[in-house]
Amino acid sequence: MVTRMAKKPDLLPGTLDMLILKTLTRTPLHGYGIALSIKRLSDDVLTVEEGSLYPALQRLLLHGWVKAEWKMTETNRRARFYALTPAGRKQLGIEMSQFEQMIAAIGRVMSDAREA
Amino acid sequence: MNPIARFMRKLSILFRQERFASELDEEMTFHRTQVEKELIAGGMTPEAAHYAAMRQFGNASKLREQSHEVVAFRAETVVQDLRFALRQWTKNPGFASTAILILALGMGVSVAICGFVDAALLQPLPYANPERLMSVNESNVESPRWPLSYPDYLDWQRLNKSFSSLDVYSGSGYLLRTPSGALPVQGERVSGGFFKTLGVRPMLGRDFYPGENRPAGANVVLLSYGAWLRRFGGRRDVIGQTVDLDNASYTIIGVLPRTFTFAPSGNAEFWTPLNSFSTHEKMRTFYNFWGIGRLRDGVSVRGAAAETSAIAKQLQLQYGITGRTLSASIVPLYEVIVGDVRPILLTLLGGAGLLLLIACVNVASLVLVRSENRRREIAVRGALGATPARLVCQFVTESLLLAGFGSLTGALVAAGLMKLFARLVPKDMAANMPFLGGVALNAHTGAVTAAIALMAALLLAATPTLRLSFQKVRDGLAEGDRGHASRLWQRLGANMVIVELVVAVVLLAGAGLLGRSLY
Repeated sequence: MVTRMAKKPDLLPGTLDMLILKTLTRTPLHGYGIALSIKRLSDDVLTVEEGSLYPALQRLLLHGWVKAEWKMTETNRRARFYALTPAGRKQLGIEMSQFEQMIAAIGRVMSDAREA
Repeated sequence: MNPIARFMRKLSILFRQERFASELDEEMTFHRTQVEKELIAGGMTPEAAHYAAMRQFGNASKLREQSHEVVAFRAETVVQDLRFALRQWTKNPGFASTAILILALGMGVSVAICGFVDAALLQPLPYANPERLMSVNESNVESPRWPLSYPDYLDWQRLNKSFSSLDVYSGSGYLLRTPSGALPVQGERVSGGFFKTLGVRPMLGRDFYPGENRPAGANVVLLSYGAWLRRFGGRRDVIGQTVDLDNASYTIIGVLPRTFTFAPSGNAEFWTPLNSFSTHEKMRTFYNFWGIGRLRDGVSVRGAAAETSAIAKQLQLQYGITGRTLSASIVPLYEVIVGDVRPILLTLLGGAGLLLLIACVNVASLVLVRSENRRREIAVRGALGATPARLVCQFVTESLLLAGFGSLTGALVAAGLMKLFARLVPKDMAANMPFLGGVALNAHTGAVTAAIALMAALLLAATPTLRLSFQKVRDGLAEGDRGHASRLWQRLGANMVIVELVVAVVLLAGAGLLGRSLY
C-alpha cells in the first residue's frame, strides 16, 4: 500500500513537517534530496509530493525551524539546501514525542479492539 | 515560534516577491530535472521522462501559489482586489469620476451645512457655564423683550434672589483721536461685573475694579483682542497707556482674550465701565440697558422669570408707571444669540440631507447599471471557481474604494465650502454671529463625514451585492440574457428614479420657499 500523503494531508496532519525535520538531522539536503530520502527510508511507502513539500518547507522557514542556503550539488548544479536550526531540533523533539504518544495510544486502542 | 520574527520574514518576502518567486522556480526546476534523470536512468526515453516528470509535478503555477500562500498575508487578496478595482476604473474613467464627483458634492454640501449647524447650535458659547447665562430684560404684552432702565436695573439687582450676578451693557460709539485724525469706533459701556458674569478674564492686564463703575469712577478701558492687534500693534506695554475717546482720556487696563466675542455688541473694540450717565439715562423710563444674569444653582428659568416679573410689577406700582403692564423676560442668552438663524440652519440641514440622498441614489444606480454590465464577468469568474464570498468581497472592495475616494474629496469640498460660506455672510451680520469662527473641519464635522462615508459605503456595497445572482451562472454566460431577476432589478431602477424625482421636487419647493422668505 502506498500512502499518498499529499492527496490526504488531513490524514496525519503535521507528520510531513516532522519527517522533513528528521531527514535533515544528519545532513543539509535540497528539496529533491528530502523527497528522495523519505522515499528510500520508508522503502517507497511514503511519497512526498512536490505540492506539499515546497509549501511545507516555506512554513518551516517561516517558523525558523530550518534555514536555507544556495549551494552547489556534487553534480555542480545550484540548489537550495535546507539545514536544521537549533529551534528546529527542539521542535522535532516535541513532534516526535507527540507522535509516539499518538501511536502508542492508537496501538492500545487497536489491541484492545482485537481482544474484544 | 516567535510571531514577530515570522511577521518580519513575511514582510521581507512581501518586499522581495520577485526573488521569492524566482528562487522557488529554480528550486522546483532542479527537482524536476532530477526526477527526469532518475526516470532516464530507470530506462525511459528522455522525452517520455520529461513528460512523466511534468505529470508527476503537476501544475507549476499552482505549486508556486501554494508555497506563496504559506508566506502571504491575508491582506494580499485585498490588495489584489484594490488593484483590480483601480484597473477597472482606469479602463472606464467616466464611471469612476462621475460617481466620485457626485458623492463628493453631495457630501461636501452636507458636511459644510453640518459644520454651520454644529458651530451655531451645538457648540456652547465661549463663556463659563454658558447654559446658566440668561438674557434679563423688561417685557410687556406688546413687545416681548426690551432693555432695562438704569434705575430699574439697580433695583432688580438689589431685590432679586435668582441671579448670582446681574449686569447690563449698552452699545456706544466713540471718536478715537489718532495721529491721522479722529476715527469713529465702536464701544460698549458695561456694568462692573459684566466680564465676571460671563466668566471671561482679560488675557492681559486686569478686569474693572469695583469702584470704577460708580459715578465719578476713573476713566478706564478694556480693549478687544482685535483692537489691541490692529490699533496698538499687539504690544504688551499698552497697559497703563491712555487713549483719547470723545475728548476724554481713558487708561487702558487690559486686553480681552482672542476667543472673546459678545454677539449683541458686534465688533465693539473699547469696553468701558458705566460710570457717567446722561440726564436721560438716570430716568426710570429711559430703557437703554440690556441685561445679562447668571442663574444661581438650582434656580430654574421659569422660577427666575416669576421672581423678576414680580419685582417689575412691584416697581411699577411703587413708582406709578402707567401706560403699560411691566413684566420681565428671562431667556437663555444662547437663544438670543442664535435664535434667528436656527430655523434657517435647520431648513438648510434638511435640504442638504435630501441632496445627499439624491447623490447617493444616483451613485447607487450608476453602480447598479455597472454591475448589470458586468454580469458576464461575474458569471465567468463564478464558472472558473470563484466562490460567491470572493465575488462579494471584490464588489465590496470596489464600493469601499469608491466611497473612500468620494468621502476624501467630499471632505476637501466641505472644507472649501465652509470657508466660502463663512465669507459670504456680510461683515456686519457676521459680527453678530460669533459662532462663525468655529465653522471648520473639527471633531464634530469629522465624525459627521465619517458617518456619511460609512453610510455611503454600505449603500454602495449593498446595491451590487444584492444584485449578484450567483445561482444563475449559466444565464449570465449566455450573451444578452434577460431573465426574471433582470426584470425585477430594472423595476427597482425605475423605483429609484421615482424616489429621486420626489426628493428633488421636495428639495426644489423647499428651496423656493426658503428663498422667498429670506429675500
